[in-house]
Amino acid sequence: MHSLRLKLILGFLLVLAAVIAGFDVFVYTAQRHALMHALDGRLFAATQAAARYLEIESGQPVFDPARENSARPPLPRVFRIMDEKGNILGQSPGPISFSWPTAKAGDPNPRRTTIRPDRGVNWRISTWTERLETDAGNSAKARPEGEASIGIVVQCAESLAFSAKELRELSSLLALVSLAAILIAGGGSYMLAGKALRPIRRVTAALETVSETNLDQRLDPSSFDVELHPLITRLNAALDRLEKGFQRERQFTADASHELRTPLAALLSAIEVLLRRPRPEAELIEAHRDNEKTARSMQAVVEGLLLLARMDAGKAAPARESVAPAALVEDVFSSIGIETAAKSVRLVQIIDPAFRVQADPAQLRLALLNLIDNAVRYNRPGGHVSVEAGRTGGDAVIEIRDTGIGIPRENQPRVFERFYRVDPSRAEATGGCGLGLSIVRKIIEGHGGRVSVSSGPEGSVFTIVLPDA
Amino acid sequence: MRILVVEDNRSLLKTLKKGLVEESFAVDTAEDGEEGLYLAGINDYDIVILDLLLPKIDGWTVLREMRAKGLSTHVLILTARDAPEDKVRGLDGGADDYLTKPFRFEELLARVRALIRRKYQAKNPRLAVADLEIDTSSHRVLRGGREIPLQPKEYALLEYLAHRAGEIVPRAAIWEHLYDWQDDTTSNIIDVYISRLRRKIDRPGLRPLFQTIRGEGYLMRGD
Repeated sequence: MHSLRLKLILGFLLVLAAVIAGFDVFVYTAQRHALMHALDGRLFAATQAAARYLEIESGQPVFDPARENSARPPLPRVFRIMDEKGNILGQSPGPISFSWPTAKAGDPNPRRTTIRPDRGVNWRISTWTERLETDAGNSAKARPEGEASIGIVVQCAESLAFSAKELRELSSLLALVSLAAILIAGGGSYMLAGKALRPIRRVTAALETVSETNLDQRLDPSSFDVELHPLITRLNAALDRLEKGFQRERQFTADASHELRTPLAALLSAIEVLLRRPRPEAELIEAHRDNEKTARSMQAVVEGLLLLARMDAGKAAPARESVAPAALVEDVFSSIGIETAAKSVRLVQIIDPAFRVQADPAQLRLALLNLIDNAVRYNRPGGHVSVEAGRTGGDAVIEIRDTGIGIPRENQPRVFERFYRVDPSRAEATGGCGLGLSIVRKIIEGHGGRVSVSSGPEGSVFTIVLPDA
Repeated sequence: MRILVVEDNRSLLKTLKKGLVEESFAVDTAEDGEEGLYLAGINDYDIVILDLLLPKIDGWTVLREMRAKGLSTHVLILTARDAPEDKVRGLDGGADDYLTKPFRFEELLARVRALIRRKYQAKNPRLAVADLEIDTSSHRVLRGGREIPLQPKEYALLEYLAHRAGEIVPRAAIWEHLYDWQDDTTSNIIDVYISRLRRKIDRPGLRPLFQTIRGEGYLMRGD
């Protein structure tokens, strides 16, 4: 599960556990070291003490158990004393569970060894070599070599059982304390993580109140922590875009339904009124003509909508062919010739027949048809429409210029919107389904190009820019 | 009864005019809000059929302006806008009825008739003056159980006078409710239709229902 809270807690506990483990290892090692150090000190003292258990009798060291008994250390400690040749001069009574390491007189002092027998406890052994005077006194006494002296080796061993037990106890204590610390820290971090994540829940709760019906609501950044302000700003910006999208969608749906329902209502009521009583044939024919016109206008809207829907769904990817705009424009001119003649609008094209662009011929023809048709439709009687094409930089540019009524500046950016009409009162008079320019824009943008308009009182210029792909 | 239709779709406007005229209504038409508001202000219409999305001035504004001028004409909104909020806005803006496109012409007629009853405070779609019965939905007229066939204008005149039975109705008012502004008749035509109604309804031996009040107008009474 991808839980932020869980990740926070786990991350925190992981760091904490590493710190505690390091601390534990440090304490354990230091304690072990201290214990060994103390042990070695005791053993060193014991070896020196053990040398005093010897008496020199007629130049020979002799072990005196009485001395040993009086000074016996209370610890589980054993010893042995040997002469230079390795003969045992004396040793502590009782069996031992390990074998003494070999040692010679004259070894550097002191020598420490840990014996780990296969069975039983470990032992720490300290070996001490010394020379004893053999001439005077009845007590062994160290003196420099070369005098009347003999070398002895004293080995003292102490079981590590005690310090091992102490270390074991320390480990359990450390483990217990560490576990308790981690548990407490775990609980604490659970609460802290919850607190840290509370703003996220607040943002969620605030967003829940915003729905399709009240998309105009925004989150107030001042009611959130400063760290969340960028998030709130972005969320508000996303809501802005969403709201605009919904508005456009609603407007489009309302427009589309209006554009379809109005002619549909006209058609249905015309038929209904017609059927209410018998009619002479002439009246029927006229009604049929009217109805056909109405149905054709509906057809234009429906086909425009279907084309736009197909292009919106990306199902009309343009083909890339070498197309001559001159030929396309000529074709469009001939197909709208009757209308233009009726309005006495002159059509002119100034395009090099050899000029070619990379485009989908059918789509580019439709775009040109819509633009030229508009240019004629909104022209003044006796005006003209001219189409030019050429290359600017690497781009192909096609311009459709008319001598029409022009488009007010404030309406120019909106003419490419679906169902947008500059002057709704002329919609009926000029015809058109209100989708022509949106289809043009969709087609040109599908080619990776741009279409723009500039307009003044002397007429409008629509400019198509196609990149040379 | 005289109706103003404000609608920017010419083909629908043409159909509405034709259908309503065939139902004996006098119909004026306007293709934009400005013209509609102007006509509503200068003529005494029984009903205004108003589209909402209109050129120049939209339907809501036309309605608001009409009410602001104190016009009490019944307004039926006929629009493609079918959202509940549009209906609320229309009715709360002073409309009397709301019908969405596409619609059945029959239903539009029934709503128009209902609004006319409301205007003349008649609950019963069958008007009665003495033993004369007028079925306003089928336009059938009976006197003493015998059906009287009438021409559309004759019927329109009869229905108007019957709605205002007991009142002296000036000739100009009758003319205004029977003819649209494009008609080039004069109010003298009313006298012609009154005499035709008298011939068909006030037959010899029956009690006369129509009276001429000299210099004032006509009175229809059953008591």
